Amino acid sequence: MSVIKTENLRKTYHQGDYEIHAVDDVSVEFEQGEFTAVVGPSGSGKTTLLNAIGGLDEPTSGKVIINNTDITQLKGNQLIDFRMNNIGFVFQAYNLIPVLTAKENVGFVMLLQGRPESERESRVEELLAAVGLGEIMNKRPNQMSGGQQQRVAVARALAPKPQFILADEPTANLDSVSTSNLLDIMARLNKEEGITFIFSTHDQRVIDRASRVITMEDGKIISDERKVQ
Amino acid sequence: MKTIIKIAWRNVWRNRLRSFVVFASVMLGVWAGLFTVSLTLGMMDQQKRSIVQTQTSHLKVHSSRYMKDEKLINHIPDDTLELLENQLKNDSRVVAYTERTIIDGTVNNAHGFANLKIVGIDPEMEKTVTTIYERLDSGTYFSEFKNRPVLVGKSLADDLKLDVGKSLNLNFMDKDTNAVGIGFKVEGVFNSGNGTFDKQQVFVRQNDLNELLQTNHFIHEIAIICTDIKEAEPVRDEINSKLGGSVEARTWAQLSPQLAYSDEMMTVAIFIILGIIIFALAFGILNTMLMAVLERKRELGMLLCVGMNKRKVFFMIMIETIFLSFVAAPLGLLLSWITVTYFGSAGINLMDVGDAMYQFGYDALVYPKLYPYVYFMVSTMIIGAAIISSIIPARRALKYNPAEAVRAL
Repeated sequence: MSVIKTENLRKTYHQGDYEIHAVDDVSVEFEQGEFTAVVGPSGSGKTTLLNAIGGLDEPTSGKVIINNTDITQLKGNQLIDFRMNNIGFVFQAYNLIPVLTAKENVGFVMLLQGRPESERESRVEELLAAVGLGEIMNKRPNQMSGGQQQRVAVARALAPKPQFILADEPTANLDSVSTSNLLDIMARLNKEEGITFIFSTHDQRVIDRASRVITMEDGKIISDERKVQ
Repeated sequence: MKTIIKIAWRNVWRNRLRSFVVFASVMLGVWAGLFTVSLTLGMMDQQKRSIVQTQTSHLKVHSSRYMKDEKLINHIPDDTLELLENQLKNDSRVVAYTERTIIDGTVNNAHGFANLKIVGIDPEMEKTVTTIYERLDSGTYFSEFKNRPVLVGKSLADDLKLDVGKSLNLNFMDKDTNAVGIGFKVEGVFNSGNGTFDKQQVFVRQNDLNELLQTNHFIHEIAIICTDIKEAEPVRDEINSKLGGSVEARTWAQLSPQLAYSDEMMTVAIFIILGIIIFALAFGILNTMLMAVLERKRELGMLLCVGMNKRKVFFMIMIETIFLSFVAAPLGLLLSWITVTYFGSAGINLMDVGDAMYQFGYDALVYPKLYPYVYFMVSTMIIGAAIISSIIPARRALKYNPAEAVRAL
């Protein structure tokens, strides 16, 4: 079943007299439970595609349909609420809130959703245990390694039980051990909880673990391969 | 909202050095502003008190004719004087009054000459109204010399090189316009705190003067002290309504419009001084918060990405800015209160500029003073400045495109 669908998605930037088609007429569907890597050289449009799917960037034309809702039609707080309730984000630079502990960071989005404290507590502890950080839940980001921070970021993205997670180069700043740990966790969550992951990446280790690899170049999808598991 | 406040509070302590610099500048700015105001208020209050205690009292009564022409014969008529005395004695708002005989004259000795007013007083009565007897630089207050003693002001004494025990000649016209020139002996040198006043008045005993004038208790002026300076106007109005036409009462503000004007202007000046300081502080806070918003672009982008709406981001930055101001401002207020309380009782000696201040009617020893309304006013202005200075950085944060902000370096 398709959870995300883009139709003739286009994002054009203007630089002086030039038009740059960062995403050029892309129509693609993502199924529930897929573990997809979007790959391609720098400037190929991977991040722009993810931003459009995540409602972070308004496309020039086309549609992004998530569970029958065209999010390009949502504005302001409607879009923010939609993101909060349906999409989890993992960023290259972790982007945790430095003044909050791991536990507080993970529970932050649930807090914004207005979930009760008891529900938050149990969900946060469960997720931090799942990403192997049960012991350091009261530490702040500056007391954690990069790998640990990214695992907290994954737990944060999962906390509000989103439909899918968009991860923009999540392993770019991690060493191989941390990358391997992180991918193990994501793969497990994907398999056990059926969470859909979409990565933009250059990292071959991520590509190797993906069940589907979409390759982009000059804003277009040039290949879309599903691996036989 | 609790979490927003918690994050904002913790953010204040993220860059401790920068926050401490802001705290210090707010604290010192508030202190400097309030201390300057307290000094000014203290000087003004002292000048006002000094003028009221030595020159204007709370109000004065003169005969209507004397108001037009300050001649010896234009004294308060005897029947009116009696009515007035009765009224003042029976008015509970009146603490004390004194009666004066005043004539224009000149003084001369071997060192010079000056025009002045010769004021005949009842020394005991005068003590209940003015503080000249307390303001003697040297000599005594009509207690030592039996034969025509005179009190002269410090600046007149300096000009004519007068000192206690020295003689001077006072010249004036008597009742029949005969010229009188007679020697008086300096019994005391007073310092009212106002050089001009001290140069233009000498005090003699009323009996001596009336005898020389060949008059029988001519009273030209009645100076009155009330229970409170605010009672001056109602007491004046009552005197004028009952005895108007024959006499006219005027309050200190009418007698010294310059003093009343500067009293009014002081409130405006306080607003301006504090306004400038708080305006400068607001810019410091604004700059710090703009830097903070710029530095935290990625984090703010993330907050917008994960679902924090713009209103919450706006409030978070606003609350942070307000915290930054509010931690330091009470410390500045406390520091001001401590220093003003201490120096308000110990005084600050400005002897180095004392002479210049004396000429303008200020004492060299200044007692800073702050009214509660000034603290309230400053607190209100700080709240206003903090809120206003938080708007620009908060708006800046909202302008971030989350997709770009999360990737900011």
